[in-house]
Amino acid sequence: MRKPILAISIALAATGVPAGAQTLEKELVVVAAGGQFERSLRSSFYQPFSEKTGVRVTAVPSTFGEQNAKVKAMGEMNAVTWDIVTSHPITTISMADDFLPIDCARIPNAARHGIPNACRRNSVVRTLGGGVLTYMTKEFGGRKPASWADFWDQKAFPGPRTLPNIGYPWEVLIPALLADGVPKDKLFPMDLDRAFKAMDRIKPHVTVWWKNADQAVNAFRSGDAVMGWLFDGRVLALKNEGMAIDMEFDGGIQYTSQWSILRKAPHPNAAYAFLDHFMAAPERHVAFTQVVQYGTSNKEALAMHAPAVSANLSANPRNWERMVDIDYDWLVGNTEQIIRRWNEWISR
Amino acid sequence: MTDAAAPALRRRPWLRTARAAPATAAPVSRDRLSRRASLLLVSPALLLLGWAFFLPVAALLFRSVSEPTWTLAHYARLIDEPLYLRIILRTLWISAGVTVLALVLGYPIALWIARARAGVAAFVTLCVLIPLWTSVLVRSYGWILLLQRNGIVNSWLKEWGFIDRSLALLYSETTVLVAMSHVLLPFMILPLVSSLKNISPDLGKAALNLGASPWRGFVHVTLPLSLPGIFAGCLMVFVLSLGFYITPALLGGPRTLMIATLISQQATEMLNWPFAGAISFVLLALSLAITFAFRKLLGVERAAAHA
Repeated sequence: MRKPILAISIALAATGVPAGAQTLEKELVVVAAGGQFERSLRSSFYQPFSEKTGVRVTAVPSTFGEQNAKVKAMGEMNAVTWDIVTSHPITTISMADDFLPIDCARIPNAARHGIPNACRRNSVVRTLGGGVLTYMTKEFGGRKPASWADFWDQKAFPGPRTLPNIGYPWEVLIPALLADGVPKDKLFPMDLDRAFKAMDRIKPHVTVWWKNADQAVNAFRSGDAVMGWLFDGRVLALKNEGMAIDMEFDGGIQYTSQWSILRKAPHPNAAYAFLDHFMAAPERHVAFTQVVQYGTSNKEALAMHAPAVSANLSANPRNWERMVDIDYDWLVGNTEQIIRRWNEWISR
Repeated sequence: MTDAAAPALRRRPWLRTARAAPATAAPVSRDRLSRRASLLLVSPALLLLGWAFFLPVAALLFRSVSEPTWTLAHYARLIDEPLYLRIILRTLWISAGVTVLALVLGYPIALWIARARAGVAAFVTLCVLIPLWTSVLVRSYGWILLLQRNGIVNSWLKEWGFIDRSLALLYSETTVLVAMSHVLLPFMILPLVSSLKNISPDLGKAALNLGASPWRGFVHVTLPLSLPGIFAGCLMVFVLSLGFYITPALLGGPRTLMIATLISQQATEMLNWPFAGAISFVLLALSLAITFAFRKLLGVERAAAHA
């Protein structure tokens, strides 16, 4: 146990940070999604980190919304017990007060092994995914829908659709704008009137407005939907299972999941050490991606996948660049308004 | 059996249970504890409730008028935006529907349990209780498996030749009504059973003896005497429906958006807790008002039944 700690101290000292400040706490509390995702995080990242440093990692499973509510409550009550949580580009703006600004010099592996811009203002990129156009391959006489315009076209691609109704309406309104002919670089500021008009046209054909991705998966399995909006990792899992399903990355929504350290985290040094540990060792990322079907922020890992695998990952730059990069600075000031209009529209 | 005083004596136990605790079947003991002793006994539970429930709820409600400054703006928003009134009305309507359905479905079962032999009654009670121990989530997914496009119901209907193409049975208001009634049925049946068990079977026999038809005996004797159970069951089902969340979200379409969903949206997605508090206050006020109205209504009917 001793030697690795020493090695880390030396490595950290070499980056110019005084070694005295780096005493690792004994514990680290990390919040992320539960289930299989948590198990893979544990085996690929938490356990190796504990073995190397002796820091005990406690994994707390939580849904994203619940996590954010608790982060806010903990901050207000001055009783923060969590160190690292899951963040998204929008919460790194809307909850900036709760997140510690990241000193990227303390995470040297991000520059060494990470994709460009892996270490950010108050977060470190974890996984890259997307909300993509998904379709059953045997439904349309061998033709493939290539864009959201095809998704909106009931004549060419008939059949029931499924779309998410999960509290982030812009992820559906953007496809609506694309389908209506708005070019990708003209999406922001969003023309909401135009988007909702396009939504009126698709609404009669949507059989399942899903609240969680399992419902969408179930809709595809049962024939309740033949086309929809779904996370690429879920589609990949179904594809690997042998289902006649596929996806189109063009016009999908980029989904960046990140790690953020809480401003009042009780174990900040262990948190920094973990994030640096996370960014290294591509083989661990490869194993992780094989289970969860999402690419990670480790650039070497991407090259280590078989070409057939990496061709299907949204982390692959070829796919990533075809998806929509949301202008979160615009969005953050408009979420309230968009959600209000969406509730009004969807409940009619 | 035909002693005229007997019904009058019998009347008391249910009157008492109606006031005290409609859900408990245990006969009230004559040797009561002193007021001080009972207070002492309930105080740990009260303290826990006060600290872990009433205090946080009060804090949330307080924020609805105190943030960002002293304001009623959050409540004004509830009135200004037509969405909220519509969702509140819809929540009330769905809850009322669920209550009626649960009563109609639950009453015969409760009557059966109350009248059946001990072994049968225990078995039926178990059938009612087991679903209660199953997660609401699991029961909701169960309905999805039954009703989806290639689910059990559709494939049977197709096999028997009733339909050619699968019906869209899921994601509608009807589905939500049916599934919520199923989930909440035990809360209707259990109070009904305890109230029906308190009615002496002799009363029914007396009615028959005096020449009433079984139906008339039921309508004029059993039904009025079981009103406290009906009251308790309806109240519980209605109030639980008001705050229902998982089942409408999973089985309903977007049109079955209910008020609890709006609260959670404000609390976890918008992190707008003052507004979440304002909506919660409306839900709480509605529940209390309805409890009060039910009590009034029962008082009137009870008087009428014994006039």
